[in-house]
Amino acid sequence: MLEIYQEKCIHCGGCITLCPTEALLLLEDKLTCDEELCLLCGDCVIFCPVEALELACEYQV
Amino acid sequence: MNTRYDVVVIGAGPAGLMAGWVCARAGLSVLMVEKDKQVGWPVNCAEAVPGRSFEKIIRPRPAWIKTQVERGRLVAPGGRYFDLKYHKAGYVLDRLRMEQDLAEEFKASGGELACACRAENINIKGERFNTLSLVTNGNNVEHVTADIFIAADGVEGTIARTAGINNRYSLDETESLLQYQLAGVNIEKDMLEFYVGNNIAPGAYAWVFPCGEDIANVGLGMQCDSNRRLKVSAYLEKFIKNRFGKALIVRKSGGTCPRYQGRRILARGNLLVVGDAARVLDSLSGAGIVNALLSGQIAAGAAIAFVKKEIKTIRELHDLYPRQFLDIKHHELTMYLKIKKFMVKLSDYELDDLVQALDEYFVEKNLDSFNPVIIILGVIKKRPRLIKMARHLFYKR
Ligand SMILES: Cc1cc2nc3c(=O)[nH]c(=O)nc-3n(C[C@H](O)[C@H](O)[C@H](O)COP(=O)(O)OP(=O)(O)OC[C@H]3O[C@@H](n4cnc5c(N)ncnc54)[C@H](O)[C@@H]3O)c2cc1C
Ligand code: SF4
Ligand code: SF4
Repeated sequence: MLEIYQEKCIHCGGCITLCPTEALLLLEDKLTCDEELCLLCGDCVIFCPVEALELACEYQV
Repeated sequence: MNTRYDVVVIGAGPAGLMAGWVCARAGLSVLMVEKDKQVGWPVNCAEAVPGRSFEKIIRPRPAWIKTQVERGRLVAPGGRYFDLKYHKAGYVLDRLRMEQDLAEEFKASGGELACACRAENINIKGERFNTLSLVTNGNNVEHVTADIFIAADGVEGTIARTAGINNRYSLDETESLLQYQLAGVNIEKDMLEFYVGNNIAPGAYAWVFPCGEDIANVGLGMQCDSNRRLKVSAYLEKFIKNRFGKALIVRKSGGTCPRYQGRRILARGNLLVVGDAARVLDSLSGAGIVNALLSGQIAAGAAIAFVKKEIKTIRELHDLYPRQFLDIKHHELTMYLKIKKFMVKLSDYELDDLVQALDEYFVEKNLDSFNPVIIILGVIKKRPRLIKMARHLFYKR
């Protein structure tokens, strides 16, 4: 699951376009992730400059 | 909010504000939607602009300027540096103030601004985009129609994608940027500092931009790379420690600087895409304010001509925007992209050499302006061994 630390997020929007499935959405006050769409690819996690994103359990099959 | 406007602008950043203001001044009915509660906040930007090209577009008010800079300094990994001086080289802006003032001007000219209002998608009817769905107050959905839509929604750029324009970039084309505003630091108030080096800021650079006597925007960019162990914050903190020792962090900000390599599509039918959403920032420096303002201004001109029926077809519309914008900027954007690709391949040793060569070149020529192509050619003449690397700059894509 993609963990989002809202208090760290600076609302830069950089992760949105990177997401291959448009799972991420930046609302006026928080970032949301649609778990149905998320592929756990990790691109947004690598990008995020303030470490507000984390893959909570990696590669659990 | 009405249900029909001449023009709807999505996003109230520099690009959207400029576009909306120009349209409203010309007497068009304009709605501007901004998903944040307040225009201009949060500021995720280092706020530096080149003086001359900024003033060509808009005359800065004194309140918009934090500092006026006259010098730029490029520091090599080994510590050697080279200074470039010229009058009114640039400004470090107060973007929050500038954007709020522009929003006031927009409203004073008759424009309607809706904050906390997020555009979700745009729908096509026949040949034209016809309705835009908006989400207000969290979950209330409304629809507006317009003759022209201007997407100015920044790096997120979602509206262009819902219209079928691919403005995606990959992790390889992205940098993570992190910036701290520092107080109590020892800086030169009239100088922008840039630091390059593979151990300092891999694939990009670190910057120190003065915001006042002892306040500065200090940031660092790093090429995204899944194999890199250190995060951008580790690089920035190391840089701050080396440059300033201790400093007080006032605010953290950051973002991305996409080095967009695909074919840019800046318009589709009656949807015009401007600013970062159109990926028109300069990939070498990451600067995007001037191009955002300019694309917004030109797109507004096209929208006015279309709404006032001076032009009738979509083809004529696209001859005004994006054509006019690309005529001015296309060459520059590709050139900066090529220089960037050349720069990221340089080792620390080569970067040292490059900075020294630049210094020698500038002392000789006594230049007072900045044409990167001429400079690079001049430098290559001095350092023939760089030519092998630079070849792809001019020949290959
Ligand atoms: C760390 C950093 C430092 C930078 N430093 C500089 C610099 O020194 N000089 C320089 O020239 N440039 C710099 N840039 C680049 C510059 O910030 C951008 O190029 C510029 O802000 C682009 O303006 P814009 O109007 O296109 O987009 P933005 O300023 O991003 O504005 C887009 C607006 O649209 C809103 N929005 C987004 N989606 C929606 C939606 N669906 N509905 C409604 N509203 C929406 C957003 O909330 C935002 O207000 C920097 C960028 C970063 C990240
Ligand atoms: S990249 Fe990080 S800071 Fe930026 S919007 Fe996404 S989660 Fe927030
Ligand atoms: S992990 Fe990948 S798919 Fe999931 S939200 Fe992040 S970028 Fe999108």
